[in-house]
Amino acid sequence: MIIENIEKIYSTSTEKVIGITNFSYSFEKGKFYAIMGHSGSGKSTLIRILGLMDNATSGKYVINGKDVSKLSDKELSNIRMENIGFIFQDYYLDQNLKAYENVMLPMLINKKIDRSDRKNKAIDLLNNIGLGDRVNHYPKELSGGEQQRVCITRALANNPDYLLGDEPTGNLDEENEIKVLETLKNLSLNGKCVIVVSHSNEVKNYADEVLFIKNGKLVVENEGN
Amino acid sequence: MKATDYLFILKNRFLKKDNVLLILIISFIFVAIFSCITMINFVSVFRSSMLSSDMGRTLIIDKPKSDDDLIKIKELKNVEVIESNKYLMGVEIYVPEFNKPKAEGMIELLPLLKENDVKIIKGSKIQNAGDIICPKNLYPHSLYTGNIYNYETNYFGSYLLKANNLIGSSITAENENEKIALKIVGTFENKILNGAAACYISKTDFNKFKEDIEYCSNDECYEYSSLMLRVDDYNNLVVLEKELKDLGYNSIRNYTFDEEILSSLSYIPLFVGSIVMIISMLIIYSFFKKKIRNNQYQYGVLKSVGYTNFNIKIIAILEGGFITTISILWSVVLYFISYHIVANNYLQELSYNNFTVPVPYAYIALFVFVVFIYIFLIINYLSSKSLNACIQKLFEGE
Repeated sequence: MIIENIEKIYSTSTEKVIGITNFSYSFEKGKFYAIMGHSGSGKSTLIRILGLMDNATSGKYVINGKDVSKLSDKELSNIRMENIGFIFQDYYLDQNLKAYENVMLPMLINKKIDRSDRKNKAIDLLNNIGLGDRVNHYPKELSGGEQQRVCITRALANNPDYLLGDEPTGNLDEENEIKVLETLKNLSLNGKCVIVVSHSNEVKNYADEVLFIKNGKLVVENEGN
Repeated sequence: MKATDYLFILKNRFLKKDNVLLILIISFIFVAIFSCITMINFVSVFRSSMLSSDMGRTLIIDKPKSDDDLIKIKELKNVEVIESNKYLMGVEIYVPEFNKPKAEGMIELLPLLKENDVKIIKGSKIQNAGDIICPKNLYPHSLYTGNIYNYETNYFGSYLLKANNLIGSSITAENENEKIALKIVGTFENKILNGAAACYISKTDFNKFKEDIEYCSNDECYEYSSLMLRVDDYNNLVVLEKELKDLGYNSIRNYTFDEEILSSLSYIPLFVGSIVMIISMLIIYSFFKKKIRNNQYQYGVLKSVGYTNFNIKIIAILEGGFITTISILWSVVLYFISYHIVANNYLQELSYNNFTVPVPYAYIALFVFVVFIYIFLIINYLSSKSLNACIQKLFEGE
């Protein structure tokens, strides 16, 4: 995942606001990245662009060797489906679906996964993350930590190379925060590229690289632990 | 994505509390609109039925001043029947054979002025003296005491006689003038705005039951002198009125409609219907707006895992389509229940006169089609807007 001179400018009728500017970086598989910065610094803008949920105003973005700057909605959706998994602070699980059904959601559009295998695959993934006894539970029946792990499992459903977390531990207590970060760390050790936007200093302890953003610019680049 | 995949996402959402509430609200709105459509249609159909009936096509004029005038009147185009005013109204007779509980055995005799006034469906036409033909669904009972509708007679429908089974049987017809045996020789389709107790006999037989005296005053009696003219088509009434006027005769319509009342009968539901329609469009719009706004997070998540905008729009449209379909089915059920309650309890006089309040299927179908298009368009519009905002929603933590 390589971005070069990425810039995002939000235009209103009266002014132009810089989301991120002159941002270049290369994210590698098998590493855990923490992106830190104050509110409004441009962290979420960066994660939206990396996750193909928003277009950069200018610059180049290459994912798995493919320039994604000028792709259609369908092509971008396909790349998201195959290569990117999102983890959200508020989990955003579908309250009407059971845990395993939430995990199945991304599989419904993946033609590479056989229809009859979906359910077993979702249950296997939940087993792997330690939620084997929660597969038939609805989100409201799960704790915050469990919901976040279902969210992570959903992000892994189509076996993407990149996991993008937007404050994934923001709503969790310390014990659950550590559990989630350990899970993400293990995923990076297993070859995934994990990029987490966070305010939490705990994240730094798990990150291979820490990026600080200020006013939309990459200002410090640290090696993590 | 296959249809089953969409259903997988939506299956548990269909009967959620907010959807059920929306279905109930939309159903009641639709019932109100269906009722307004029925009312507007009823007024229009009722008016044209009245006008096209035998009585509605009849004009009354004074006795011609000379035989020449009578010939001229008879020669006027479009005049179907010209007779003494005596034959305008029927006579009520008692038939003891028909006297049963809930049906007192009263029938109305009308003179058959023109052979094709009725279409025989079984048996034969009137050929001999003493022949009588009746509607196939005969209710030998007067719903009127004098000219006043008797609201206590509520048994229409259950006590209809199948006159086809009575062909060949003899009945005794009696009134204060006459008592003779009549033979039922044929049946015809019940005529709109003819009472269900109205049978036809020949003019000669009719004369036995009805005198030539129209009224008596101060020991002096007066015979029927005016004439009734029936025109072939009610659209020609105006022309005939003008031609009669040119001959020096003022005519009176047998049925005069107060167009103002009829218009208001038509305009009130039109006005109410339009208001209900506008309000319902706004309510439906705002409900779907709220619904799609509540679904924004879900749309955002679906987008994040790779669903295209098209996939997400289909999900929104399917959910809206489900709500609309259930609402329409439910409102149709409610509408027919209320229709039957009203028809069976409040419209018996019309039923007795063989007038069924028509269900305007075509207009209702058109309305349903328009509703589907409207809801499709608003969901398409709102979900497009929502797709732009849902990404922002997912990341608005920053």
